Amino acid sequence: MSISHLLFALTILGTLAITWRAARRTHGSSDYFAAGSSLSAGQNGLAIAGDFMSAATFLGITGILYDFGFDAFIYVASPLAGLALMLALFAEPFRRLGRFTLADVLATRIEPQAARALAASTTLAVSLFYLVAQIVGAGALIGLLFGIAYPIAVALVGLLMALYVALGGMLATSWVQIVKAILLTLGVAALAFLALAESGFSLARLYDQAAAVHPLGARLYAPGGMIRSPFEALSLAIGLVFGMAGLPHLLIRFFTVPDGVAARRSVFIAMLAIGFVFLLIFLVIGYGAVAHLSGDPRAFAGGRLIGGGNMAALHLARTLGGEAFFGLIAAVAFATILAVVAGLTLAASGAVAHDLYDGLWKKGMASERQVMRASRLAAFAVGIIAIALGLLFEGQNIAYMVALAFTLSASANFPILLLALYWPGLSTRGALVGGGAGLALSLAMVLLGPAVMVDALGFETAIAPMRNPALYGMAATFLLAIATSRIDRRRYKRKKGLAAQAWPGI
Amino acid sequence: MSAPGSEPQAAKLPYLISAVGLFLLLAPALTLWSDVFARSVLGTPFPLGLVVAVADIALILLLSGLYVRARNRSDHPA
Repeated sequence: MSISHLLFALTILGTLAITWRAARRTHGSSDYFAAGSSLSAGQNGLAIAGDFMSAATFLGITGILYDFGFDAFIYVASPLAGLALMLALFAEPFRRLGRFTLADVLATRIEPQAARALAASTTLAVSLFYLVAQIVGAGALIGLLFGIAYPIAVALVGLLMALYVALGGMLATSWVQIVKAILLTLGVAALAFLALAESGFSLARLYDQAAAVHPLGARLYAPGGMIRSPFEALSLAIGLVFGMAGLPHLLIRFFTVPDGVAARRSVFIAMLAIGFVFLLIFLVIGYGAVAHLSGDPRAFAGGRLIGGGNMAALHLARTLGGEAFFGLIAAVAFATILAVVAGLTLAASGAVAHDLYDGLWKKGMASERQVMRASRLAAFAVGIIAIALGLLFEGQNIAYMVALAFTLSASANFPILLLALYWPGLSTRGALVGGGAGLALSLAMVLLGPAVMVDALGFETAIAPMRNPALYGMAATFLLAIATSRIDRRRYKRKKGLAAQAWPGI
Repeated sequence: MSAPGSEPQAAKLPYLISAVGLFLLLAPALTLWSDVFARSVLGTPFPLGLVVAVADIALILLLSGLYVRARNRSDHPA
């Protein structure tokens, strides 16, 4: 058994032990869905960081830096700006108004049944696309790292994530995320230390070494390697910033702390953790991979990096730290995947059990026990769907699925949540028309866009030209929600003849 | 969210920080192209974009930290 396999087994056993311990402390739906609102700001901050920093961010950003250089910065700064937005707009109101899901918050402003239907649809759409992207990436990554066949890897991740959520709920998911965030931070810091040490602890020397061996030369540190125009950069940034601020699996984390003060603190702690990791990747690890991998023949086959740019961080770990360090970083990457998919599964199963089953089907009359049972069943159902879609999408470009999740979140979730919390004029029909149309429009634009039609399906041109259509989807949602709400207000006034009275907003 | 107009000066700080923070939303895209400007106009060989990038992230974190402190103080005044 190699060191990689040993650490892989330890990661699974460790996370299952956390789940078993959490399951013993979970007694009611408050514990199950919101960890009893008992997490401290520090714990929730680390859990938010663990929930967001996926293998795609750790390995993907390093890969973009390795291939294209500076343009990776947009993927580094945008999530932080999105968290700043989440902090200013959503952290405290979510803690004050919500209990278990996004629908709880929406239901305080619009008709509850409509709120549950809308919030459950957007939560499921965003979480499932995000989940499938992670599962496809996980299958390929685990296959490469540990020599496990793709279908077995996908089934293993799907089964584990369903087990964490079904048995341990939010408490287990939170602790898996906290442990993963600490492991990832330490692993990235160690990798950055080794990369700097190899260049005599001189960043300038490391940058010179990287520029000397990369085809882009000194342009490695200039924009334009991947993103061709300022408009495209802006549209991508808008999708990432507003999409980040509307991600359901991050927003439900505000229900796990006791009050608004802790909710705000937890976002800031998450920003510090994510900022630290991202800066090390951006300033040292990505360019370190360019500088130090070129002299290691083990990393290349036929003149190309084995596994592509996404594997640059792992190759760097092997080149600088040997097999043991490679095994450690591979195990960290695996823990990273598990933590993110568990958070997504929890958000999706909560929406099914709390909003669709209890809110819509049972009209709020289901017992606590029934809701928890429904959520556990939903976790396994989500796991099975994710495994099936993961097998179906094998070998597909996962970038467009992540882009789709962020686009859906920015187009459908963010505008409706913002209007519900800060615009008294939002009507139920306005929220449904805006949110529904935004969801459908953004879905259509991504599916008919170049990422799917050209890159994935092989057409010469795409029907929708935008690679990052969040800008249009978001604008359409705002416009339709506001216009429909204003029409509703006029109709209401005309019908009641109460022009002087305040619009009730529902 | 209460209207800021009727509150003491110190309580306006969160709203001020929120307003400044909104400009940061455009920072990622602007930062990419500030480097083009630096290179084409100033002609500097130094990777200025990296400095701007770090400053951008530091500013986002600093303003967020100030915002959390100010809002939490206004919620729980000593």
